[in-house]
Amino acid sequence: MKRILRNKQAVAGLVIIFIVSLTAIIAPYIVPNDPYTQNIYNRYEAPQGFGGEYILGTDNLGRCVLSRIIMGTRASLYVGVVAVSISLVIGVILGLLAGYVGGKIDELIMRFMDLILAFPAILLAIFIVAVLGPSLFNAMLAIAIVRIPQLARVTRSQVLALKEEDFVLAARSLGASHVRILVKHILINSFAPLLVIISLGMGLAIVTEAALSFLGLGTQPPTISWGRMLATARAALRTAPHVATYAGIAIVFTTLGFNLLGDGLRDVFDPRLK
Amino acid sequence: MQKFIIRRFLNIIPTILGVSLVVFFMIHLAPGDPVTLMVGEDASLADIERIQAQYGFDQPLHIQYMRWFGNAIQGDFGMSIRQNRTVAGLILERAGATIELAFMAMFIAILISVPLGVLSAIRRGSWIDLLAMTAALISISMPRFWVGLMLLIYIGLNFDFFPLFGREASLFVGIFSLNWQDVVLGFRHLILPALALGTAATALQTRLMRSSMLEVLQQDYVRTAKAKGLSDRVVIFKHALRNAMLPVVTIVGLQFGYLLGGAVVVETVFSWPGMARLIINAVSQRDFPIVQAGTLLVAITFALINLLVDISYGFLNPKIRYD
Repeated sequence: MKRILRNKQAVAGLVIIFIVSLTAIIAPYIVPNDPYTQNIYNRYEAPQGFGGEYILGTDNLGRCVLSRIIMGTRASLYVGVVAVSISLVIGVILGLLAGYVGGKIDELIMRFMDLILAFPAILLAIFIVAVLGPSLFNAMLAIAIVRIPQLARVTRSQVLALKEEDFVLAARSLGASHVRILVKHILINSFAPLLVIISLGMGLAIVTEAALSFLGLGTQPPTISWGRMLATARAALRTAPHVATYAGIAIVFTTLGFNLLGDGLRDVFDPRLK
Repeated sequence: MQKFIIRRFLNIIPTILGVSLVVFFMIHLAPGDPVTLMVGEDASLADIERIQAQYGFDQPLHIQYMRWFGNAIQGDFGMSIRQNRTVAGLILERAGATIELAFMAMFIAILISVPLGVLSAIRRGSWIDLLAMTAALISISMPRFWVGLMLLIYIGLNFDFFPLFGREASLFVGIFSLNWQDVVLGFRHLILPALALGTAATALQTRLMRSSMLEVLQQDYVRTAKAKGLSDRVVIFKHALRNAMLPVVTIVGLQFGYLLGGAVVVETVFSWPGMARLIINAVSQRDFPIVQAGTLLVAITFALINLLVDISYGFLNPKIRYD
């Protein structure tokens, strides 16, 4: 933990993640205006800066851009957390099975993972949403599915490296059950590399959600999403460049936080890669 | 080497089969019946049966799959459900624009990332290094389609040189037919979308080039070359660069696949007439033959690129032997 706090990148990432998470939690209390209130007489108001009524201006329906960006943190983080959790649970279970059981099961699982990796991730995500129908849940599922192989692979390689270690053999000779060995001895020691992938995966999930929502395949109205804000902003690049600019900066800022943390953690856990 | 190439080539057959199975059977998980979509809710039973027979929907699934895949490897992906045209024709019309975009993006990425990565490595810790690495980190965090929007707003709208949307000529066709007017026109349309698409690839490759170069510079043979009194330039370009390029080549291959995927979103931003709009429109109209064929073709292209990467490895590094 101390080593993490000494890594500048990781700390910068943690600070950004803290700011964004805090914003998401207290969002309804800090929005300057109601993010849903439309006012067609105020469409595409330019940013007025601090002190003005609409600090970052208004969108195509006269809604406060800053308030919508603040509320939008919720959807982005929600999608990231749910998608990464789904892929983490499935990926880790598959990886543990493949590495620990080995043989035919290993072969079967890893071939299936290769199959998922045979598609460019965003295209597979679009394909999955196309099949299941556009909705927030299906988008999260699609984002989760494309992330599973990496988690399964890392978990599997950890299991393979650890299962012949003395402490695992000792546990086995003491009569510990397979589940106990997997969870208490192998999984706990695989924590570090998984944490790196989780952090980088959050960033990827947020960007993918934005892309799917931009294409109309992700978050559906009335939920506020940065990706959808960009989609509506595209129609008015000339009249209202501020909408596209600020909504995108919110995405970049959040993703940057997770990428910084992921990179920092990797340097801490595996200094060779620096 | 020949043996390796043949074996590696045979290796992608299971991949293609697997991909085709996924693409075919996933579509059948979809809610909504394509026949109802075609003829409408209140069509007569006879009409429905006629259409089902015409498209082969009345056959059992595995027969449908074999028929579909058998036709697909011969380049026949059936008819579009919504447009009265063959899927292959629609895709062929669009594929060129997407491939051109992906190639240009990769070209820009290599053009920037290799020199920048090398420079960052040999001037490690300098302000250039710091600047390049910061820029790379931020670029990786930027969604490509947003980069596209920003380029449109802050460059496209301010400089008439860059048209905002669409594509009026093919740069590649222009180059091959020596039609300079087309080259210029194609370039003007292509440059902004390609820049947007290539940002993440540029950033990743710069980082990789830097770390790979740093590693190579610590090798014994580099030290030997320096000890012999060779100039820095010779050491870096003749001894180090070639070996440092190896991991970059792998990532170029992988990135190319992601570029084809990422193109879908970037094309939407620039109304680029590539595969993207075809696939996205097909998704919203539930025109499944197009979605199937488009996804399958991109995945196959992805597999072929990885094959090329593996083979090019052998030529770049004679230490790697395949047997």
